[in-house]
Amino acid sequence: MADLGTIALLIALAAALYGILANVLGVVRNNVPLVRSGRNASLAVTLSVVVAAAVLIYSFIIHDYSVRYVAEHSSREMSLPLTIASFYSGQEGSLLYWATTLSIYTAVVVVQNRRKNLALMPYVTAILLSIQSFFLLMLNFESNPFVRLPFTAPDGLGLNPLLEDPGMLIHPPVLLAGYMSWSVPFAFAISALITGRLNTEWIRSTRKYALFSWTILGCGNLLGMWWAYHVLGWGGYWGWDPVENAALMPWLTGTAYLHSVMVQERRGMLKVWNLALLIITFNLSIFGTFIVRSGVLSSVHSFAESSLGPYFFSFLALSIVFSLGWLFYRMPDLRGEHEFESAFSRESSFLLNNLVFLGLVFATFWGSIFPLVTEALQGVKLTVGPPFFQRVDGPLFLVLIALMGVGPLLPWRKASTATLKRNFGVPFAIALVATAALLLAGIRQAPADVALFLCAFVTATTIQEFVWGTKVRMRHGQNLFVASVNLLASNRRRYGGYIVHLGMILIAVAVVGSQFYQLEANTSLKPGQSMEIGRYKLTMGHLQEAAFPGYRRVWVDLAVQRNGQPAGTIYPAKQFHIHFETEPNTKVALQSTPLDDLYVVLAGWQTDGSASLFVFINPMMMWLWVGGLVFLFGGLITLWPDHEPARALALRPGLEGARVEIA
Amino acid sequence: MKSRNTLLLSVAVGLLTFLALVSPVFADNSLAAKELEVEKQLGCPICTDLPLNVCDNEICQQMRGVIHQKISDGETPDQVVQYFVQRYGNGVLLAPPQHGFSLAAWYLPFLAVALGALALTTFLRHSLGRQRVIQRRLAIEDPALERYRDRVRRDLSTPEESE
Repeated sequence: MADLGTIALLIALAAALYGILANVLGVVRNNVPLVRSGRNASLAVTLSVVVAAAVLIYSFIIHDYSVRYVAEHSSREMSLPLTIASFYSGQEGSLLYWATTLSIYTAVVVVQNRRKNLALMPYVTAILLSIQSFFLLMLNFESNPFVRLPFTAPDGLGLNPLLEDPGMLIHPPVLLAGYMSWSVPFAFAISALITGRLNTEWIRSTRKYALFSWTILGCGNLLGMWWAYHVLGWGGYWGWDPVENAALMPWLTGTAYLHSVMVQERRGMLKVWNLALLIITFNLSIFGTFIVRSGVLSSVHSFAESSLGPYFFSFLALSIVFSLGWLFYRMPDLRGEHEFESAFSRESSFLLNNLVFLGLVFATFWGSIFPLVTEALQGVKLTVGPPFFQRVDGPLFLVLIALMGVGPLLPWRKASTATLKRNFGVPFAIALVATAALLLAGIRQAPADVALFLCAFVTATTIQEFVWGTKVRMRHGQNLFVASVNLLASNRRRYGGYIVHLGMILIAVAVVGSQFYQLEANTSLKPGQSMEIGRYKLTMGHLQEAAFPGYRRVWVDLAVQRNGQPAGTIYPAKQFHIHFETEPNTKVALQSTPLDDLYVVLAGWQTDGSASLFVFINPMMMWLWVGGLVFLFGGLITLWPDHEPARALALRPGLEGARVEIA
Repeated sequence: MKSRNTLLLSVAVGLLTFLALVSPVFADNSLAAKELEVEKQLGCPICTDLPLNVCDNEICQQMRGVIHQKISDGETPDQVVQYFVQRYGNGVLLAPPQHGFSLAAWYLPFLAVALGALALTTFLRHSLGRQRVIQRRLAIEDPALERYRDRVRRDLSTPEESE
């Protein structure tokens, strides 16, 4: 059965290479049947890659331990969902997952555009197939998941216990899909460069694709945070680990792109810059895929170290040279159609936003590779961890929050002092009052106060936008509900974007709370003893141990009192899984309230029945996940398909100077 | 409306200044807080750079014991951190030290942002300059053009007046 997978991968590679050739030759020689054949080749690639993926999943389900990858990444006692998820738990499988999702996405794009973008599509298809060929090359010749063992193993090695978690079912596939999906906007951008069709056509065709990539990559990151928080047991959700940084960077450049592309749509400026941002974002996505799989930088994610480095570096080098080459070649055709009219305008605030986003990416990239730099230059391997990024990235994030409040209120082209006063007065006053209240409540760490002041300001300006928009509609006779729904529907990208901003503010509040007001204690408790932390009191019951199928579990029961009232019992534990006896798996005990999280880890125990515990109180944590959901909701609103007439109305040039703008 | 805003604003500013002046400076001087301050700067020598305060292996437990001892003996957090740096080298720190070559780690990002800001202002200034040239050209009087403009203005305003 597994041999069918090997054959399917070979066929896919052949079809992909043929598809590239047919599309390029077809379009150069103006040979329509050849282009059509190239398009069909891309669908053949999809079919064969999907067959290969299905074969691998099937091998996992039937426990075919004659296949090395299956034997190394699953075992008989694993549940069915986890067994299937083992598909992408190792290097070979995650490459196949990438190739599979890319092939499906390619098919979607090809079918959606069968009657649109006819000049661009042959190149788009060829570029997507080139990316696909790179992954298929590795899958066929370096990292084949269908390689057989010389014998059939009786049982598999199982999954690393860290991965045996519901997070495993969703975080890796969403994140990898996020990386993968930037291929499509990239392919359109490069096709625009190659064909010289540099008007807004390619941007309009890729608007939804870019929003989709950005939303899904953001979700991948958020899911990673959630998984880290409830599984890794260090009381936090973001460790500034190289792999996390690698996943953050394309999201940051992608965010920069989504903002600056509006300047191009609206004013025909920043064309080179937008193309460069997409090129950077795509290459950072490839870099991220590489980092998670390579073990170049030490990381909690280094489950497999590999020989793929040269492949990835060659591909990255090729892709960067190729795309930047075309960008320079087309530079003369990419002049802006307008000039900036004022330093205080929406478009210049987007410029500043881009500067800060790129600054963040640079700081994060530099911090991540700095250990390699010192190792190469001085022979010492330094660590660049959370204290570094908190102090370097932290202030830049603050500037971004400030821009989130200021940017949307600046009109396009030129702001007058009258508009500034009208737009900023009330939110500024509200933010000042809110900050005063926080100071009174005892929130008195300067950076936290500054951050929360900005959060209040952004929230007020954003809500003001919704209120003004709704009022205009109500003046035309719509009731409150109809007016607000219509407002959202009329300009989904703008108001969806504002909702995303509100989600980001919730996340920022949670980050500030847990960063500046986290309480923690390392204690050792004997049965019957208690400890107090913040508004909680924990009383230790007994240290217990029991065997379960596949693992042995040690745990304690802790009676929780919150504000002096009993609030249930929690069970922090450690599990010792077969095959992984030396790496006990932490089971965090977590109690969430809107105000704070109680987070307890069983760190160790002694023969006298006492247990040592790490106890954390993480204020506002719940709002991080709520903010994540708000982000997703906003993202979905921007993605909702537009009705053409509504779009046309919204884009009517007569509305240019008015407050009803396309953000 | 405007005066209400101004009033609200000045009250808020006053309140804020008052609070900022009377707020005590936040500082937790307990021994546990000092220990935590040290632990958060150091990484586990064998795990993947996990901060000392959240690592549960034996070496980290021992290191936490040493920190507890030294802080109890009255050493400052900086002295304790230096003690570990002398024994294990700079690799034990979770962030690069703030001297020598490692300063590059800390300051290059800000330098990059500053250079970016410089490039951006230059770009913006040039663009604004070109825009001024365009405006000046538009402003040059041309009687023939002016007649057209008048005509356009008149035509555009007619329907509204007739309504």
